[in-house]
Amino acid sequence: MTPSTDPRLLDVRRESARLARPTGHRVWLLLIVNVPLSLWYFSWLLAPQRVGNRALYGILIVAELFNLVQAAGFWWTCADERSRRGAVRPAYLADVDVLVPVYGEPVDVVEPTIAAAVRLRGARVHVALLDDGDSPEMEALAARHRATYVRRLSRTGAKAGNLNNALRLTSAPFVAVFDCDHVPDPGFLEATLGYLIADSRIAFVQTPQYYANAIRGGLPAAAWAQQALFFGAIARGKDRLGAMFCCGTNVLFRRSALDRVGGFPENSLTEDFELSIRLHALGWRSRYVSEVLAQGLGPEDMAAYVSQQHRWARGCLSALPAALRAKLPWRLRAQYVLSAMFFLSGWSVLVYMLLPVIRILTGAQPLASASADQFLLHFAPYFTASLLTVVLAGAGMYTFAAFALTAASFWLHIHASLKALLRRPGRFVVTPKRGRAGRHIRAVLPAMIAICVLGASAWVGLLRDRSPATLNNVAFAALHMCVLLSGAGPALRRSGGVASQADAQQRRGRSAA
Amino acid sequence: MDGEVTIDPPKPDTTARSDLTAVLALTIVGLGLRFIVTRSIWLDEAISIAQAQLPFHEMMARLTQDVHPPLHHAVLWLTVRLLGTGELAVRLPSIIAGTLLIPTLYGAGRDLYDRRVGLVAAMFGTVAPIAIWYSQEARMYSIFMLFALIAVWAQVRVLRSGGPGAWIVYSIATAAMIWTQYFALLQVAVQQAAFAVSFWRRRGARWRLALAWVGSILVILLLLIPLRPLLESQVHAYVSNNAGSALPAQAGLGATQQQSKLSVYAFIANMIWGLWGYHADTTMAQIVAMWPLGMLLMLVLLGRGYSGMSMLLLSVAAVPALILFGVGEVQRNLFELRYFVGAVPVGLLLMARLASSTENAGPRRLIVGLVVVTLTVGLADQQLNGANPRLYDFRGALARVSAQAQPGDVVVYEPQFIGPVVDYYAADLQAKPLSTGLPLPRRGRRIFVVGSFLEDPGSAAQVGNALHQLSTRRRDAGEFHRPNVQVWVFQ
Repeated sequence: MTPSTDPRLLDVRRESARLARPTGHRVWLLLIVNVPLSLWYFSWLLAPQRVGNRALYGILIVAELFNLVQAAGFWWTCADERSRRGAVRPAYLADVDVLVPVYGEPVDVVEPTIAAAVRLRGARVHVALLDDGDSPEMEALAARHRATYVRRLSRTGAKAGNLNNALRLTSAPFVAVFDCDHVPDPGFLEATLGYLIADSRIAFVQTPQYYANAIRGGLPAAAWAQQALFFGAIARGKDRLGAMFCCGTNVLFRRSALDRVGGFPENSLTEDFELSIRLHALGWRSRYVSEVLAQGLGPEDMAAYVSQQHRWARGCLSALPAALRAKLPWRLRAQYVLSAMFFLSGWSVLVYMLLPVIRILTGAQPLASASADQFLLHFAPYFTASLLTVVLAGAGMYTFAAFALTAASFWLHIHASLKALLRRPGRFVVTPKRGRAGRHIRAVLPAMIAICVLGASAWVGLLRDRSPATLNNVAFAALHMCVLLSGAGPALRRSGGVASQADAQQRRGRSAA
Repeated sequence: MDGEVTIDPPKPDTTARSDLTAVLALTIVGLGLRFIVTRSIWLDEAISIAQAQLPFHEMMARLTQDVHPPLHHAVLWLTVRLLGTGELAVRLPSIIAGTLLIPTLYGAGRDLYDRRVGLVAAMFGTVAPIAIWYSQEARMYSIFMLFALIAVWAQVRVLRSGGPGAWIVYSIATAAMIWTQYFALLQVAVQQAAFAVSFWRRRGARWRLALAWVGSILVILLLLIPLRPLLESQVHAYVSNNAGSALPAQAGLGATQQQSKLSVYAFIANMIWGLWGYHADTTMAQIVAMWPLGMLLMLVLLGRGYSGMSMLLLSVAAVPALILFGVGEVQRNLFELRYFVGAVPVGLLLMARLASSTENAGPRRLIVGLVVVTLTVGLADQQLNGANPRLYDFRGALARVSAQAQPGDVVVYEPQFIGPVVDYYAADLQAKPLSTGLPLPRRGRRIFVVGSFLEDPGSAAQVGNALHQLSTRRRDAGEFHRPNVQVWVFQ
């Protein structure tokens, strides 16, 4: 990746403005519609005469109520928001330690980050490159940019351990953390530091985790669209509720707050999430600045995406008991529970996929005393209004590709929740920063199996009869197939991989020379 | 996203000649398709034709008992004077309006979006089943579609540039739309609401817009003043007649129509008819059951962005239908595609926009091609499939009766309201409704019993009784069937 081809160095003001665009009043207006429509649908659905096959009905109700809780949480979060874009001017020139943990990432990915970190304005900056990869190239890189190079003897605690080690070696009152692929904007500290200086109760200021490679389309774009919904309306809403949690990168901490909780939790897969719970439980506050102040790289291939999402799902679901136990105000507790519960949504996707298959193959269905048009009459307004809320809250940034990617990752949620339930130990896996060449069938194998099952049952249904009832279920199966196929698409297409492309560019460069 | 109409500067036109050729070719194909008429004169058409043969003042007097504004009737009156009452002659105004829809779709698509959308919209309009269906009907719906599209197109131009030309076209098209079909008021209401929203959101030149807006309303009202006496008479007659009509609805039979209460399936069926045409009830039941694919479409649209202009088009296409759906809950017969058929060209435009929005040429061509194929299949099924419950082959049935009938033979028909069609196709035959009694011609002469709408129990019973009586007194000389028309012959 050369400076001319590195998307992290491009102007991002437009995307930043889009991300920060306030949407709360629109969501609030839609809330007036959403609540009665939800009540209408669920009062119809929960009527006793609606019970068809008891087991299927029960499963459907659980899935629908889960989605309703998630939707209601989303509406509540996004209905009002706080948008912080203008910087709070710091009262004095403070010292800030800028920590960049590295573990085997390529030099050309890390170099722009370090180069940008040493140029941060608004404070006396001390950049430390925390290399768990024990790489001489990294040491040389740090030397080139006059950054401190930190190498650990033991690599316990993964990223959290690496950061804690650096905290012991540094002393500035404020600590900025950037993943090694996140290139900070020179104005990062100018936009964030003032909050910490102005209010001593604030533990950290979080900024968006923007994927600059989204401009290339494909998987990074879909992954960014997922992020955009969170770092847009949701994060602004969480900020209003005082419930914004730390996302591990592009964040500025108060050292004393970190010290109070003993640094980053080393036994968690999502040290940032758990750290936030601990800080909030001790009464510390958090802030969110909805301005893109660092540009990173999203997962370039499906294997990387799966690895990242699985870690997030495991980590957040494992932190659920901690969120429930912690002494938090109910608003914060509810926000943490809602955020963690999102990673259970794969179960509801599984339920929705199974229902048409069961109906086609066995004839059993969850609902009774309800024709398809009655169901549609009650469901369609609720579904449409909910979808419209996502569109408006996400300022149009949430895409079908993002939705499909979430749906195709249903199995991740199931796997992660089962592992969390069984308390199986997890391993911190660094998300690869570069795409690997070829197809990544294994990463979407469960989705592909689901597509085959849905396709086969649809085929059986069509062979058996063409009644409207069967066709309705075949159409549901087709809907799921299209969504899954679209979500799994990036893994099925043969890609050159960013690394391979970079190598090829270098080879071409050498041969030209 | 902000809902405002975006202003794009006009692009240099380097492909005008090729576009002109393409649109001309599409228009010729469209004209050809509209000339291939496969169905007979419908009841409403027959009534209009009968009225158009009256002296003008008498026709207008008859219209006071009708529920339609007079523009199409006046055009038809003139057509009958110039060209006669042949099928093609009376349908010519509709054919012309339906054909003009093709270049208008191109112009609107090109102007509102880009030339690609214009061409695709014209392509869709060429084979759009409903556009063709109503182009082949001597009624006002084809003209309504044309004016509806022009009114929306002009409004977007007004909101973009606010030039006097666009205001004039908008005002005239709007007034013409109301002169053509009273239900156009629903579209007018949506468009006026769009002006209000635009006024509310506009930062600069707000009062200039308001002034021009008020001016256009005054012009529209001025153009509607001559309509007032007729409208008052019609309202009075409608209320006196207890707001009912003896005629059956043309659109919407079968599972979605016969129910006393509207279902959401009826709404979906009307939407599908609007784009893919009328089909057999069994086919419609199957298509409508696949509504989950509509959910897929909604999901696919996530993140595609939308402009204020697209929202306006969507509102014009959807709001009248939704309002009539709501009204239909109270008065079932008012929820019919033909009453919001102005939404069809706007829907085609939006569909063209959607189909041609993919950046990659390959998938885009594939999507556009698939849509054209489905529209063509829909057209073929609508026009040719005898199972289409809206195909009533009175022409075929009565032509055969005319061919077989001898002087002294008698034709009886049921229900009574098909009388104008019988008069149109078999004016030289001695025909009378069955409800007035069963005539018995002298021995040796034949009696033809023409039955239609036999799914209605009353008509079925009437025809059954007649057949029973005739079978005991006369020799059964055979029977024949045409789509939705049955004929029994006794001697």
